[in-house]
Amino acid sequence: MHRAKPNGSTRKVTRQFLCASLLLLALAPRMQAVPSFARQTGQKCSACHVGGDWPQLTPWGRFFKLSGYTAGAAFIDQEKSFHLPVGALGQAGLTWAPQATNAAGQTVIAHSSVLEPYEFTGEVATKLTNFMGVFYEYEVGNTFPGWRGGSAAVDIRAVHFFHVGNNEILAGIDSNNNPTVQDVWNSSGTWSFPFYRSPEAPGFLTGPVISSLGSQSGSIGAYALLDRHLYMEASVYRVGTGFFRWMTAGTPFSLRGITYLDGFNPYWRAYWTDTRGPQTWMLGTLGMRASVFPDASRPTGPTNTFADSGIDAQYQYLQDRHKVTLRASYIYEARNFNGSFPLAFVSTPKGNAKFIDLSGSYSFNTNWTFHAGYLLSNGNRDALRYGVTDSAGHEVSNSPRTTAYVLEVDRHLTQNIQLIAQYRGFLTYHGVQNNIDGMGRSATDNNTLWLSVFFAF
Amino acid sequence: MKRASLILWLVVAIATRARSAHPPNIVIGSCSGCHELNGNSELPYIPRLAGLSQPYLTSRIAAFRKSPRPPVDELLHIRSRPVANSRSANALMVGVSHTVSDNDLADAAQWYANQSPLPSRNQNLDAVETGAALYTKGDASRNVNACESCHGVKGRGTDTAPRLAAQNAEYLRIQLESFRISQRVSPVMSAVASRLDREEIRLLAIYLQGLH
Repeated sequence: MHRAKPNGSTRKVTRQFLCASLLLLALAPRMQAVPSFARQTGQKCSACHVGGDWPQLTPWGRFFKLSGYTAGAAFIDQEKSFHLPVGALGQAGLTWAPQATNAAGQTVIAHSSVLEPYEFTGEVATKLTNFMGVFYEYEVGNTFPGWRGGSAAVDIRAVHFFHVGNNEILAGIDSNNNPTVQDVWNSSGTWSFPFYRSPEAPGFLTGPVISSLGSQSGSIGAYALLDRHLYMEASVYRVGTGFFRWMTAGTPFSLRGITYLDGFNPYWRAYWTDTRGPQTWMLGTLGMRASVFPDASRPTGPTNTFADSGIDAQYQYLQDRHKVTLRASYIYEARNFNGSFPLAFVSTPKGNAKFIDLSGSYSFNTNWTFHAGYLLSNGNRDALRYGVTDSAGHEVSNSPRTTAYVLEVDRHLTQNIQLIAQYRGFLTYHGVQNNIDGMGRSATDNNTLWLSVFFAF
Repeated sequence: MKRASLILWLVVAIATRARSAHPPNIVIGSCSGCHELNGNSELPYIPRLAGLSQPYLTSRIAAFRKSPRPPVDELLHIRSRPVANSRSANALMVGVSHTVSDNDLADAAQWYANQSPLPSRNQNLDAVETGAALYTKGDASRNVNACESCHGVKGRGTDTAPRLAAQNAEYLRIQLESFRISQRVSPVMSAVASRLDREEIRLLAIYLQGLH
């Protein structure tokens, strides 16, 4: 097959693809709190969320989710009290970047020091029956400029408890719009650290496919929890059109940067967990095999395949006033560019990537939570996707390797309002510490301080 | 394939843990999330319910129901000072008590009353000495009655007072602190706890956790 010679327009398309993907990653659903579940259960947020700090889950929060969101009252309970199974959430913030522009005076980090509203979200989250529950968010997000509405996190489940001899099996069927949104741990995927991020701050140059399908896919799967220790799940995802369109409202599937799945793509998850006194630990594995069209505006022909395999772990130490959670995740992705390579979107027919997420959180009462984390994202070199040249046309880097640390302080004024102060520091960017853009910008020039307020009612 | 089946069987066998007979649905789907199916809660600030009498458990839920359900929207409500953190725990149960039917609560109380308390964990020798003295003898000089006079020998409970043996120490500490500062009110316990200092409460709670 004749391979098109890369030219300026091809590079432009590639960068458009990359930018769109990064944009979608940045705007991926991140709403974390569910006030309507508080109304349903009659409990404060801290019952399910560690220290009241969303979205970290306590053992009860994990069980509530796995048991299909069915604990608590129906719309009208035995006291004839009616509760609205809806909630409203919103977030605004300000990103301060000491080096918002590059050496040429071009804006690298937009809207620095400008207070911006980010998103408003409505949610329907409720027990539907004694065996079925739903969690549906619709978000109107700031696209800088303009606003766009669409489905955010969606998860619907039906469950049943079986008793076989002296053993309990919690079996469930689940449908959602984002791999790992159904997960109950905060160690990898949708609910992993950092739980919140500035939409203006620089992100990572590549990500695993398992984290790239939010509001672009729909799934059906089954899971089982044996004696509340061993969990196993198998799900399949397809593109979020047709039957799944109600989960992906607002997603422009003809946009080139969409992660457009081909056919049915398997996802799996398994973990073992145990609790002894104040300590809970989990060791798990997860993965996905995905076939993705290289150009969502023309979803035909050869596809790229991505194979994610990951391991993760979490440790929690929960006392009444002091709560500590430690998390670790490693995902390896094998990449085959059968679709993109002939189109000259990428430089190599095959590649790989590695992702590491290490973090820890400490909560004091339900007022303060402190987080710290280290993130690594790395992949094969690729001049078309990650190439950076200087003014003389010499290649400075073609690596997506990025390492960063995140320090964050959360303060809950009430259980409905959370203040966030997050510092994101880059150790490497594009695989280098210095001259990341060919004009002398350093990785640390991408550092940002982000102040945000998040509310949920 | 045979090897895979054997491995799967071994994993399932290791994962199993002996459990009691079929619990009621409310216990399976709700209570056990914090209190465990067998009532022997692992988390230290969650009370163990195993072996507590049905009348006592029922009376506690009735007490929780006397409080209005906590508001989801806290902006319109004055935040009281969070004392001894029992507020957060009681607020959870106050909310639960309003969302569960009387029949479900009765089923749950009966289930947990019939569960066997497991022996608790390691003993702190200092706690044993101080705790045992307070529990069995009290302190006449401070008008502190022996806890045993109401809660029974070795903390196993009586008709008038709940079992304390093997109860989670952190939970006991929180409750005693709540009585001490009158956040949780009881004519008897408020008076007793107000005469103890924090260290005595801590050691007493640890001592009780070690009983069986």
